[in-house]
Amino acid sequence: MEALGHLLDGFAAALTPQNLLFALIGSVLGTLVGVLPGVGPTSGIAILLPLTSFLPPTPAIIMLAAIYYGAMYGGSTTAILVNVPGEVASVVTTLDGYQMARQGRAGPALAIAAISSFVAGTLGLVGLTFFAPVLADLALRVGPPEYFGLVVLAFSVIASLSGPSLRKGLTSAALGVLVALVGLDPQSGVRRFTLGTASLLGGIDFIAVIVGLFAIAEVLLAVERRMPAVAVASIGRLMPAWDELKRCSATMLRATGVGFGLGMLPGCTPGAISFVAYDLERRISPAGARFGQGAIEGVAAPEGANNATTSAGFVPLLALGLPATPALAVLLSGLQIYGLQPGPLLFEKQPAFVWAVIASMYVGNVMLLVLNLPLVGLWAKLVHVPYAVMGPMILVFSVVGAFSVRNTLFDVGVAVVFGVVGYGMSKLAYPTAPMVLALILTPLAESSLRQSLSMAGGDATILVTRPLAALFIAAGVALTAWSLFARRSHPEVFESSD
Amino acid sequence: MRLTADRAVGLLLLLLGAGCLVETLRIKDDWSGARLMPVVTGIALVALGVAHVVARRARGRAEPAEPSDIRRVALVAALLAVYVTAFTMLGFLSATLLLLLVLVRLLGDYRWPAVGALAVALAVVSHVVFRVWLGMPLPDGLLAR
Repeated sequence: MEALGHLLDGFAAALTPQNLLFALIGSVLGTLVGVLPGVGPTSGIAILLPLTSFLPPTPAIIMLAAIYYGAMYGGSTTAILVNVPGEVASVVTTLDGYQMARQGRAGPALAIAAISSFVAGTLGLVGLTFFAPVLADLALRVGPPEYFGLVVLAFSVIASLSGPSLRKGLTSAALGVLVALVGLDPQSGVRRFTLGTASLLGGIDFIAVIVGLFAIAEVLLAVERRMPAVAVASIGRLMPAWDELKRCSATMLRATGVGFGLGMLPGCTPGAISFVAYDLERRISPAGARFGQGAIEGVAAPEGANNATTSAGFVPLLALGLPATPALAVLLSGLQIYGLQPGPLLFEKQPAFVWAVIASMYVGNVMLLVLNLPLVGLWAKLVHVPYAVMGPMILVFSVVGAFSVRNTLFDVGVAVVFGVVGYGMSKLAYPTAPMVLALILTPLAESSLRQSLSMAGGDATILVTRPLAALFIAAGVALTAWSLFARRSHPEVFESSD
Repeated sequence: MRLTADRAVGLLLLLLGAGCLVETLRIKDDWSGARLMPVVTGIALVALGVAHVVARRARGRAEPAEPSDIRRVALVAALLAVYVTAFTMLGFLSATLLLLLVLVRLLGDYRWPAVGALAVALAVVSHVVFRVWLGMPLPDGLLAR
């Protein structure tokens, strides 16, 4: 019950005018990022992260977190109205959501998406509130070998982010590791891969790489495709019938369970989990037979699951410092910019910060419900913003974002180079998400591995003789195997990666 | 042996992996220290390179050729490169204005007056937000006194 006291303190901080304002800005931006196809939560957070540097850490992270979970709300809007998912987690929502829109029931579909998102997101936060401190407390007692095991577990994400070809996913990850190694080695101080230049001594900036891979590459792809004009379905009456809400309540609870339970595991991205929840619901719900033909439960299930997953993703992020998705990896680097190292000590050393952020997420979910129910028509209109305006603006934001991390033009150059690399990778069907995960996880992996080896005098068996470390590594292997299997049976879920 | 995309990428990976291993020899530290990750990465890159070179082409996956225009992509990428180089000399506002003029014209079907108005509006808004309001140390270039 200690957590409850902390949470109340957190609410006191989250409800100050400044923090409320930034939760609101984050929620609006998140909805925007979710609505607009071509900007995902990962690139959205990466572009805006450096622009928050004028803020103190608490409002900045409150805002960035709100962008992440806000995008899950926004993504459903275009999925339902235009049959274009705003981000990957809403791909499944198109199945029944767009069918409902075609039957003139877009309003109830949008409403149930928002309500289900709210219910599951908030229940997920309750889980986060009570689970994260316990996990952080446990994590305090583990040493470098166990931590290395956890990083291996986190690396198992790569198999599920790899798309159709594991070889290509691994290649992307290996390149990410290589990029992460450039610069001065923090432990020994020796230069690595600096090619004799001074610019590379400080390493290749993570944010610049993300901005390039996700934002600039996406614009290049859109330039090539020539974005077509879209037709938006009309919304009609908004609220679902009472009896539909009642039917969906069980669905929402099941989706929360699936989303939260799987969402804490690395490798389970919102995109994959929303599919699992939909599939489960189709099998056990009385409405299962009508799935795919505009069943309201078919909208409630994936939307609930992806929001519970976002809440759950904060558990390993805050308690262990391990990101479960690329977007959370960017958020992690945001915390590091502020000198906050997420992980077990964060709850001990910065309780005011952690709990203010967690409390703000409850507040943000309420804001998102309000933003999304009555204003949904307004958001839908955003689809009509011509790409000739949006594309150039994304590029300008990207350049400014890359520049402002360290105020060097070198980072802008890095972003442009990785923009072209990301475009090429996308054309050749190489997923970019594994590269991002590898970039952020490599420093953690390297330091914990080297510390373990020096603990054991260079004996690598320390990684398998300590039971907990061995367990984590085994779990990583098992998860990899599971996602390889799942990839074969449901390839469509793993196609895109942002 | 024809040079497929797989093989080209494979050769690139072999080169990178070899470079990585050569660099590892140069690093002055223990094999369980600063050299550990580079050597593992180098070996992985070489292995992936080999896997690419010997990979068989996926059957029946000839993707339908989308109507696409690679020249537009090359043009935008080149524009960005020019933009980055011009950034310091011209300053953020002027360089951004020029970039937007070309991009908006390229991406949209607007006449020049509309393009000009849009580009000026977007550039000025960016300048006011980033340089003036957020006070970012973006180069002033031509506007500097």
